[in-house]
Amino acid sequence: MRMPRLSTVIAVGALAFLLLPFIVVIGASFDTSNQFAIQFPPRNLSFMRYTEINPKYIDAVINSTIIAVIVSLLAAAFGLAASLGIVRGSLAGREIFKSFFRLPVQIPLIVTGAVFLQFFSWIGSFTGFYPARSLAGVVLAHLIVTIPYAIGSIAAMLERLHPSYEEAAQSLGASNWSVFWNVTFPSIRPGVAVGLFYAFAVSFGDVPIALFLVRDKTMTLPVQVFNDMQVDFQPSILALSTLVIILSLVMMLVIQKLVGLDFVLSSRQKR
Amino acid sequence: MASDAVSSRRTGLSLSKQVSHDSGHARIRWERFLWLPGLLYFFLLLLPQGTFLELSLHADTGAGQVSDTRSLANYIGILSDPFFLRSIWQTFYLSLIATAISLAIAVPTAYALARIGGKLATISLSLILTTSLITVVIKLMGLSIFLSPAGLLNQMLLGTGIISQPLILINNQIGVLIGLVQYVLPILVLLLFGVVQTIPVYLEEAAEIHGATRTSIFLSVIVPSMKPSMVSGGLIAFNMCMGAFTSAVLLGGGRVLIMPVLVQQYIIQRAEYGYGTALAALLLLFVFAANVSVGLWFVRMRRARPVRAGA
Amino acid sequence: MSSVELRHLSKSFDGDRHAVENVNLSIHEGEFVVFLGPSGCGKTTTLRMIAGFEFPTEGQIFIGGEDVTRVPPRRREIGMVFQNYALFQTMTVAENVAFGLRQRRLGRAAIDARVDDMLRMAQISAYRDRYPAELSGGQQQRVALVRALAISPRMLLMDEPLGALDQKMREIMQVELKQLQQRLGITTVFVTHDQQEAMSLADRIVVMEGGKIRQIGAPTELYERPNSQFVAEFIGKNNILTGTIKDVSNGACIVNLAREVDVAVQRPINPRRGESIVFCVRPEHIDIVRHSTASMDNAVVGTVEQTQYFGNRTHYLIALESHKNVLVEKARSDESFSVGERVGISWNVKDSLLLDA
Ligand SMILES: Nc1ncnc2c1ncn2[C@@H]1O[C@H](COP(=O)(O)OP(=O)(O)OP(=O)(O)O)[C@@H](O)[C@H]1O
Ligand SMILES: [Mg+2]
Repeated sequence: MRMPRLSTVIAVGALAFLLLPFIVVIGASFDTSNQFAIQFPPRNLSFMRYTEINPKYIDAVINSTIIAVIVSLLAAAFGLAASLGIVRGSLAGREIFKSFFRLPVQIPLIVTGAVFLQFFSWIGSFTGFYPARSLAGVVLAHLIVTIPYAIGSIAAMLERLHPSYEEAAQSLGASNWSVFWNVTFPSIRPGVAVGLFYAFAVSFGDVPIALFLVRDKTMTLPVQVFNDMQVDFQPSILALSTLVIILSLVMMLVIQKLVGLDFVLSSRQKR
Repeated sequence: MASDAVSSRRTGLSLSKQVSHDSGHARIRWERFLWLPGLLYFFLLLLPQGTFLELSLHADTGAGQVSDTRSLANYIGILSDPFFLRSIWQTFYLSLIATAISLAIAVPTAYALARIGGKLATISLSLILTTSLITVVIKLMGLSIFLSPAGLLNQMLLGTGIISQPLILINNQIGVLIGLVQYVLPILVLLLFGVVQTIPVYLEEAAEIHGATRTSIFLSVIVPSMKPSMVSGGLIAFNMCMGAFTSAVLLGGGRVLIMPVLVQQYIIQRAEYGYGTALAALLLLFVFAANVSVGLWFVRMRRARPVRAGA
Repeated sequence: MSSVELRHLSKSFDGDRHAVENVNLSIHEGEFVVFLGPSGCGKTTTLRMIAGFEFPTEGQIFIGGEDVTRVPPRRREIGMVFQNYALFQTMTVAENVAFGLRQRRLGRAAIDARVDDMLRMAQISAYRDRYPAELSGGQQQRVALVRALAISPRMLLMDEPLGALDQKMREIMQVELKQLQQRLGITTVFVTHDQQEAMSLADRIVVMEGGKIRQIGAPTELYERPNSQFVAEFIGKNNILTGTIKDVSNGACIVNLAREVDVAVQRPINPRRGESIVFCVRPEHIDIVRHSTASMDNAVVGTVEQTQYFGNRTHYLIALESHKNVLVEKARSDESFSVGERVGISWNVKDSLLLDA
């Protein structure tokens, strides 16, 4: 089979287009030819930008990481429970449950952000607890939009695990808990790992939701960068972004080593 | 005698097993696991969205306050104001064009990657997957540097003499479009790649031996087999574009006032919650309407022609 | 219709090992040639080189006298039926059949007329507007066949086209295919690993093994005069025996199979005493008699190990004293033998065939 020529050309172009912004950011982060202007391709290569990173970004990275870790763990737990219920439960109208649990990703993120801003102040007005005053607000809002990703990858795995394995374990005298921990969970672990990974990525990168909920103390990295890009763009942001890009690549490689690219891809489609 | 003993022991065994079956080994009632996430969905999805929609029925009275009575005033106000109508229209067509461009790029890209296969395709896909997971803010940063009037693209075009004036590619609709394509393209490629993989190569060979050219194979074998996923993938891309706010702000330079931007402005900057929530509710409504109508159209199309990809 | 010629055709996928090695073959116009051989012997690869999907590493391919080695598949004017039919699932039966005609930019009316003809010929006009997924395996097979024939190709290639059908349907399709091929007089290359299918379809069979052609010939020729142990065993059932030449007479030579067991075998061209030889005898050429009544010369004594009854014939597996088992086929007769019985077996000297080892 000879290769489709035009398609290959388009594919090369698409790949270049998708990688371009990262190449520009990484390249420009090493430029120090001019104190305040951004230059790509870079001229005077040095690590200077990396030493200038404003401490407020470090705080933002810490906030974003805390939020994303908590969100991904919770999303995986809730996603696991929901997947078990949807795939294994005896349900009338399984498809309806599936679509219901997928709803949050179909709502425009900006709407979700606005909704939570209003909801949290409404909660606060009669309980005295204002979730948006701490990281809890962003965590709760991110949780609801990341659970569908976790369900997508875990349910995909669960659907491939034939119930006869669980039944075999039961027939051999295993208790329900033992069946779950010894048979079900080990088999769907890759799905859980991918779910965690997606939830982390979505939470760590989100702007439209967090924008409504963060304050100075709870500022996340993407929102900080988003704000500064509009008013006060410091070249050191490029250095920080480069670090984020490298970290994402490393995480991607790790997750691929753990579960294989095929699985990451196939569960992505199940969104 | 001996055989009697054996058989009675067997009976004993099967009895004891039955007993334990009744007590502890009944089917796990997995559906009960739905309660916990279900409750969470009630408190974090249904309840907030409900109160939000309710708020959109209260008119603004200034200074971040809304009136106590419910009415459709916000909706009527928005839908009768040319400014908002233009914004709604702009949101729609930008999303539609971005989706169409992305599909036009993603289909051949997915096709080529699937057919090239091997290490090269794996590496490309990993890179594309990684780009889809990194925050869109960083992508937009790179794009705005590259596309700016003094950026590399304009330098190259000016340098080769193709243009004499820098092209204005950011702070306008073109910039926003490029940003939207950047945002949804990786997801479409990943999604369609899986689909092309299920189209057997021998179908292409069958077309080729019957005289089809490359283009003809692509159009008559590949595209029809991918049509269902192109529709569902296109819908996902369209939804993402409709809610895409970051690219509109960062590459639109405050000049491209699509609905997500207005929602943010009205709620955060102007504290006009009535209009802000009504705008958000309308956006939600349009997205759902688009999904439902495409879904219905698609079901009807499929019923008329039982399209199945692959053999 | 066109003749086909393969000259010194070789293909290796990764450089060292040959999938196809130095294949030479000329196929006459209108001939039905079957490639037969065990799995992995290079049948599909050869067929795909004729179709143009694989480039030969060496050698040339001629169709109708024209060198097509470098011609892309779509210009070769070949009809091909794929193993899994490769029907386009997004097109109706009629659209599938019209596909090749549309590529040739024929007019609508001409295409419609041709499609109707083809569907009528295959007796599937009723399914004109159905999709492939709504057809049975046999119906899909017919669609694939007429889709290939619709373009009036110079030749027809088929790679195990009947493999997915059940035994009964297979036999029906074999008869239909052969009739159709003869009626159209189209040069056909058919790949199979089923020797019965090959025998029932072929004008000539090309037996392949390990990428090489082992023998080419009409079914009767291959059956009656296999040139090697491989072909003798691959085509039909056969008993392969080895022994050493003990004595030579004018018509035959006496071969010692084991200690006391001697048989008469066709005389080699240049027999030498003490030389070891390989020969074969077909099961149906072996006679079997009760031990006590044995009076034929050339009879060997053995014990019935196993019997298999097929209605019109019975197979006996006879264990000789040399510990070698011999299969004997007996047409329906009054005489039958039971397991454990001592019997004598014998054959005519002319039915024992010497083989190259
Ligand atoms: N694309 C390929 N790449 C590498 N090796 C191949 C390829 N196609 C075939 N081969 C090898 O070439 C040899 C011949 O394969 P071929 O498919 O022609 O066999 P075949 O006779 O059709 O077998 P079967 O009856 O199983 O279909 C095999 O050893 C196979 O492994
Ligand atoms: Mg084959």
